[in-house]
Amino acid sequence: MAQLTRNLFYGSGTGEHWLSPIAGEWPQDIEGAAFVIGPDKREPGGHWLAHHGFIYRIDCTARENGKVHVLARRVETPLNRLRAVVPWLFGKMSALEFSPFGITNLANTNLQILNNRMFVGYDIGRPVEINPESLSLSALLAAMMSGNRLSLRYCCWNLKFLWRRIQLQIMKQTNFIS
Amino acid sequence: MAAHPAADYETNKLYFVNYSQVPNSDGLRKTMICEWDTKGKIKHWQVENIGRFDTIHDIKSTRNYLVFTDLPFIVEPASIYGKPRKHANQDICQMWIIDKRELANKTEGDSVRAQYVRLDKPSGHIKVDVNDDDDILTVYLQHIPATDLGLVISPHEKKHGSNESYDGDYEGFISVGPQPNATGKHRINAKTGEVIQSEYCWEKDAHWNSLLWTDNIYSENVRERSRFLWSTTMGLDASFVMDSAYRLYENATSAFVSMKDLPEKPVLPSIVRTNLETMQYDDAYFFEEGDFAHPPTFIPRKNAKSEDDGYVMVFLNKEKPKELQLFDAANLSQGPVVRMSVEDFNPPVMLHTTWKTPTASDVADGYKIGMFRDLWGSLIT
Repeated sequence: MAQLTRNLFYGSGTGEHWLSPIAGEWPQDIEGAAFVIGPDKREPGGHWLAHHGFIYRIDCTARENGKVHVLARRVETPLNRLRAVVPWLFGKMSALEFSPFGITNLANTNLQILNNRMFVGYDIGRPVEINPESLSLSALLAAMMSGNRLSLRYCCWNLKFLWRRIQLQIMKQTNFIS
Repeated sequence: MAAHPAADYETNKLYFVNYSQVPNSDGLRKTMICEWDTKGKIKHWQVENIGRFDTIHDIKSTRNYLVFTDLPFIVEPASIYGKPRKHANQDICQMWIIDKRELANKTEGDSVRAQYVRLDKPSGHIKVDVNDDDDILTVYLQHIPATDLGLVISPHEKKHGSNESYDGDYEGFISVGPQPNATGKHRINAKTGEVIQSEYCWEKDAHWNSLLWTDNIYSENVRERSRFLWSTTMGLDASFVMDSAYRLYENATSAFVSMKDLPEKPVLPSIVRTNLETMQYDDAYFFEEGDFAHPPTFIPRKNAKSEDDGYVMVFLNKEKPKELQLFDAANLSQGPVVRMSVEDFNPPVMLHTTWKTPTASDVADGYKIGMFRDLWGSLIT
């Protein structure tokens, strides 16, 4: 048997695509949009699931020349933006990502539509609401989630984690460790 | 918070399972059921009599009940540094059933009782029929014996039997199976937890290494009593089985096919339809050797007249270019209706999917909750 394609984990990230038919024609009897979510993996390595969420929106109505529009966007949570600025605060273990803010809500697992609104689910974090047209962030849905008060113990654990990351960064920058 | 909330399309509410594996300041690990009408504050109730579990991933709603299961997922820190895993995932599925009428009768914040059910094969995802007449639930489970999300192809990992390392391009891939795609149909008395009947759909010679399924949830009649699931599978190449997976699961009692008895002949990747009435596969298409079909998406036709009146969409990873393919949901075996691609279309392996009507949402255009208001709300409530 031919080996499984090696072209599994090479992603290209955010963009827009116009897909053309290779064989057959896009049907005229569907409408709306299909959505696909998964980890924004750009290259092999680490754990498949340990990457921030990424959504494809496939317009089900073909445009001129039978082309179909596909929008690809990262789930732009505040932690995702923060990671881009201070990546050294974030570390990975297996499928999880940690930082002083706790386990990162990677928002990469599930999509749920209700009342024509779209929510992204992840097993360790609150749902995130995404605009189904633009794929931009609408809300983190934290304000409405009661019963999640941060405990003192959890805060202390996070501060300890932060201190360790800072120590590690200093040691790296002073070439104390490679 | 479990990644999959349960949508109740009759009341337009979402239900979540919210749990903590880290003890709260009072030393307890709490599991909550949350109800949200997508507009106001979320209501929550603490679930009583719930024991230990690894993770909870999925919850579904029937007319009167909520059903959720655990997902086996062990992380052993030493394995991150190349040490072999010592413990296999649990070999069973734990299920809990909550009566929604009890939620309605209780004050928010009170505790509610869960009916516990134990099934003899671990599970990943759930589907239910909304119909729960006579308190009998019909629950479909994606059974995933020997699947281990914590086992990843890494530079330390070897192929079972040959002691060869994997090509670096596969690093990061998880161990799915190796087992046949298997769906269980379980009829359960919601009041007593008795499993009245269990049926399984799987084949030994085809449709191995299940990814995810898709279903038609877009009409009330279909949700009431479903007939079909569509799944993509990776196929099986026995030379690709991870040594650590074999070592941990060679004696798994929940396996449909023992790891010692895997088919010698390779099994092709496929897209397959499960008939939930007969619990047999009734339609399938096989992809080319080496292809990887992503999890599928069901898209209904305009004015669809039956449950399978629509298309199933998949992304297909090949050496190049990657493709989007549409299949007729009622006739997979004829092959793709259309194959689409463009040079810059390059998705990595993805997960869950959905479809949405062209109808705009009823929230204001540009609706947005600021991060600080969001964070403040989570801290003070």
